[in-house]
Amino acid sequence: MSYILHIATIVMLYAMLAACLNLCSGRTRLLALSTAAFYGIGAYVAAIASTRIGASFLISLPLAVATSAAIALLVGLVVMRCSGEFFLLCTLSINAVLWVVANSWMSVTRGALGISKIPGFFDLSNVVAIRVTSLIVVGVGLIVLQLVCTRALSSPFGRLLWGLEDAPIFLAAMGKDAKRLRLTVFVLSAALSAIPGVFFAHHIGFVDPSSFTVMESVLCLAIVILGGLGNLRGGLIAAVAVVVLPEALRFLVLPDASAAQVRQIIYGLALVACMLWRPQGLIGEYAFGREAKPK
Amino acid sequence: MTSLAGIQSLSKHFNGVVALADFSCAVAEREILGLLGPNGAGKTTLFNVLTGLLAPDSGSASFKGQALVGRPVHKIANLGIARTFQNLRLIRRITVLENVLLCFKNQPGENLLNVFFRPGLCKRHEDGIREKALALLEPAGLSEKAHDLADNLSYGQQKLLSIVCCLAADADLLLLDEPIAGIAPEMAERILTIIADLPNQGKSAIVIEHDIDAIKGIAHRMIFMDAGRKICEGTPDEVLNDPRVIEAYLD
Ligand SMILES: Nc1ncnc2c1ncn2[C@@H]1O[C@H](COP(=O)(O)OP(=O)(O)OP(=O)(O)O)[C@@H](O)[C@H]1O
Ligand SMILES: [Mg+2]
Repeated sequence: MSYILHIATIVMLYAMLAACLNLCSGRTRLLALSTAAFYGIGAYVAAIASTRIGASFLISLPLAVATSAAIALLVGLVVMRCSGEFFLLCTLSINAVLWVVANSWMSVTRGALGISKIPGFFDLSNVVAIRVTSLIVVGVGLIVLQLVCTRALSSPFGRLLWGLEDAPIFLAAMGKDAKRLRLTVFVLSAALSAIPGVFFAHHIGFVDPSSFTVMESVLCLAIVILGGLGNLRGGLIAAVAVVVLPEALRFLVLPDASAAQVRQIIYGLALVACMLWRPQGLIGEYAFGREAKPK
Repeated sequence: MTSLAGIQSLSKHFNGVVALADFSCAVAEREILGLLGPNGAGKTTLFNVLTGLLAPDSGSASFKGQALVGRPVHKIANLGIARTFQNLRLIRRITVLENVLLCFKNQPGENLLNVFFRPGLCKRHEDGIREKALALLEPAGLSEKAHDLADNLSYGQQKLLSIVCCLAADADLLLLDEPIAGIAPEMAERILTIIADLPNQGKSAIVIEHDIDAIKGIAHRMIFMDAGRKICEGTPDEVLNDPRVIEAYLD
């Protein structure tokens, strides 16, 4: 029971990350690999604030969002000049650099030792009660985040995103500042990614750099692409698939020594199969952008 | 007539190729200026320099008294210059209507603070421009296509759409690069009607076009250029009867 609640919470954390990444990468197809960096910033802010000054998650949330936004703004001054594969590489290096910082800044992050004894969301003792409250808090967070992303995407701001990579010259010729748009959407996406980070810290109770590697960012990007770029609902479903599948494979009866590898192989094959048969994303006819619509 | 835009001795080279050489001209308010010239004469380059996409080697340009050279593309556009592209640039993954909506200036909903904290203002503005957009699509014959993806339009319809986008931007000067080249006659007729009506709305245009008969009917004044230079300038009759122009268009 407690295990299922835990998995459900993790699914929602990934769904939140996918929604944030979708904002930046979905419509624009400006693929970012820095999700885990800002997720990590959120987690570390919560870990430090709660263990050192006893801050509750409600205080950590705005603190984490602000820290993440400030750092995103700083690196964004470089990032906003890049598009296409340069943007991908640029965001990847941000993730790599911040990971090194988390690993080496002993006095603040405790490096590879990580920060432990992070309190739960509320002061409870019953394990199931703790899991249920985690699930509820994260669930509320997910709903709010989805609403924020939906609102942003359905606005005139969201409309501009379609042209950011496809038709930047058209946008500029119509008086729209593409650089500023790229910076805004990057910072917004990064700032919101800190929210699941805060939840992660309080849910797991322990943070260390291994949770925020570039591979985490790749996983988030995989979720967004599987769900269909720009498709928020698709991202939700893909998050379920990507998190639950490897967990479900744990229950396969396999010889101990090879179990882990076989699981990885099945997981990899499943992802490849999705890309082959549903390149437009797991759900929805128009999931991959909207051009998937037959002419 | 008062001058809307002025161009003073613009020059531009591309590794030895002369695209603009000491080119000067002016556009008056409510004027349609036809720009003729053989392939490679530098017509598109002139548009690219005026809209800030290319920096000239030398020379200057001004619009409503403001210097254009050195200003970023989107700021030039916001002064009131809109253009179409020879190789059409539209956002193909969104609908015709969305392309037009996107082109309106000063939308409160482009700012996220307004999106979240002043939704009423955004909604009212959006409703207003939606109505205007539909009204602009009507004379272009694109009303029925409003909710189709821009990618599903024919070439001629895409050209119409890019002009409608310039109208949505409510620019005072439209730079139209071969607006009727390669499209069906009835579609061309529509486009010419829209262009000819621009002065009535207080707008000016520079129109690049190879179709002499078409441009003759709508231009108030014409310039013929070759190898980046202005060869002659005057009323359509004067320019079209100039021996140098006749020679260029006969071979
Ligand atoms: N970005 C560029 N880089 C290099 N050369 C260029 C560039 N743009 C234009 N040119 C060259 O400059 C010259 C003028 O080109 P331009 O496109 O302005 O001609 P045009 O008058 O618009 O011709 P067309 O009628 O074929 O459209 C040509 O020789 C062209 O090859
Ligand atoms: Mg040209």
